Amino acid sequence: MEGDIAHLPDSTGPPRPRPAADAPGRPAEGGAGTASTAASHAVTALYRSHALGLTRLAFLMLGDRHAAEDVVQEAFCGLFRAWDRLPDDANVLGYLRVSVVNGCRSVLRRSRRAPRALAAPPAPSAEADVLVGEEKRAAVAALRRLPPRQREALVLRYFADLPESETAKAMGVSRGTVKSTTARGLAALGRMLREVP
Amino acid sequence: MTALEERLRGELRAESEIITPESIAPLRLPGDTDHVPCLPRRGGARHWPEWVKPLAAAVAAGAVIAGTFAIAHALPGTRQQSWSPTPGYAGVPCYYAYTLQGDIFDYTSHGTEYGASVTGRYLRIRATDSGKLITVLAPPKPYNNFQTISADATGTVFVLGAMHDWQRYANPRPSVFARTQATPMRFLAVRITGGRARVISLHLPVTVTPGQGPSIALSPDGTRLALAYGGRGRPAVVDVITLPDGRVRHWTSPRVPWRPLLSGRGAWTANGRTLVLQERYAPASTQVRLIDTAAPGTSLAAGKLLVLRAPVGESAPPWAFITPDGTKLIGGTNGAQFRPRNGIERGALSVYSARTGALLQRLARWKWNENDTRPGHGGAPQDQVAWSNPSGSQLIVLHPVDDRNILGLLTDGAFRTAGPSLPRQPAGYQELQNALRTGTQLVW
Repeated sequence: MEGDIAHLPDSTGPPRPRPAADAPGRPAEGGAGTASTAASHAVTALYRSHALGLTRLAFLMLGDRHAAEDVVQEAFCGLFRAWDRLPDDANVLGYLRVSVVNGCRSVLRRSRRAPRALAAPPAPSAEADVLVGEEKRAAVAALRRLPPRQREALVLRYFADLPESETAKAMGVSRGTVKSTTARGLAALGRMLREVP
Repeated sequence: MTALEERLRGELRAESEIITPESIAPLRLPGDTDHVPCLPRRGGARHWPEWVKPLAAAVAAGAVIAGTFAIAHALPGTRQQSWSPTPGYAGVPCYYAYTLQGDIFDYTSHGTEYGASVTGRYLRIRATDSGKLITVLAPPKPYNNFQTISADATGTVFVLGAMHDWQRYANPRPSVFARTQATPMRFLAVRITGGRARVISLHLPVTVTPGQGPSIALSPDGTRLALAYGGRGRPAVVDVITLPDGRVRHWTSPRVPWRPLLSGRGAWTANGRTLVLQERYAPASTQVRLIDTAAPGTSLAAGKLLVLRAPVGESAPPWAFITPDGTKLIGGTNGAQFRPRNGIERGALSVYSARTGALLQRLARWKWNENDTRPGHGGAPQDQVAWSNPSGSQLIVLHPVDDRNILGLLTDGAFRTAGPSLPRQPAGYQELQNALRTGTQLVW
């Protein structure tokens, strides 16, 4: 499995097969019809390409890898359900990204608490790496203390490397809001990092 | 791209690598034969029977009404009856509260043991007369430090400000903790009724973080909470929040270098009108401002500024206790600042005019030998006012006597360890003395 949303333009990905004209609107209904089979193959191919990047995106927003995996699975299931309703030129990756962002918001809303601590990374245990790791953890820990919208904006802008317009689409806000939210998030992050002794 | 943006980008990338390609589970789509971890709705949109819709609407409306009713009864600030005033200043309070220092984390990192300590790890409330322990409270998780506390004049209502101090970094290896100042504080109230404590969560209309240095003072009748914060290069702010209805009076200043501070004890006059705000402290003088909370205006500068100058050879009082009648300000002053070579410190309680700030009187002068090696003697002198009668002619104080800090009654300058206002039961006296000696904060 390979791929990272940061490295894939939005319009890439396997071509979307058109469902047959008489295909039912809901691919899963009625078993494995032609359209649902094609949709299944297409969505699975998309999953192979983008699941890693999207899971990482969700993980950075949630701080919980299991919840992140669930969100991404749900996003692809949603894509599968909506497959026949999407236009031919649909920005599938953009659709998935919006689904993931919305899924993360739902998880955070449900949990009503700060993201959980991360599992220990499979990092080398060399002593020399520890200080670097602490620095790294300081910034990420600071990011997790930001309000969810600011965290979303920063992750989309600086992890996914999305331009402001795409970040705005993913967040469902205007470009101006993205700019101001990002600026506020960066300012807050800077303040928090200065407070770390 | 700025250095911060570069750093953030690099660290996000590094952090995201916790998710490895091998760890991604295969996609399970609807229609797969085995169990699917994601559970999309099979068969598309759910179709409810028609009769369910009005029933669900009625249930939802009922739930909203019931929820509103419950919240109105549960939260102060939404109903008058939920936060009734107490009788106000009358005499010695029935209960007192004090916080104790404690470690919240002990951990070993690279062979070195560390601890992270906070000043308000626990709070105890005791009965004044008997010393009986009413309750022990720890801040609700994840909060772990009672940073500021206050009480009404009867000692039956306490307000506690909890902060989330020393957060663990996200990765547990090594265990690294960072002091955090950014999590909004949480405020609780404790009401004592019939010897039982009831904890209430306060939902204040003002949000403050520990980094803003908040301090609080509850009015004598327990209905208004003064909250001071800001300063140190930002505007200093004082908010007085009326707890029954959530109204806020707001005073502010331009950007100032000092931190506005309210004392846990002796910050309000008995009539609940004047509030004492400490602005600057220096060995030569302490600046306090008396805010008339009944007067109109929103500027702190409208309050009366008093400069309490240090007596000769001593430093100015770090805290000023206003007498309930509002005529005097009393604070401990001593010569520790001047580092006496023989180890003998001298000090007294200094009484200042609340009208002019002039030094009026020196009470109960004391001498302290910090090198006294007798058991229970020596250490640091503490000269604290714990309670005052209306005019300040009778004070309950912790006072340095014979190189020990002793609880006693100060009447017209004469100190004694027994008197009508002091706890009569030996246990009550001992516990109050102990709390004053060891508590990092005490409100009474």
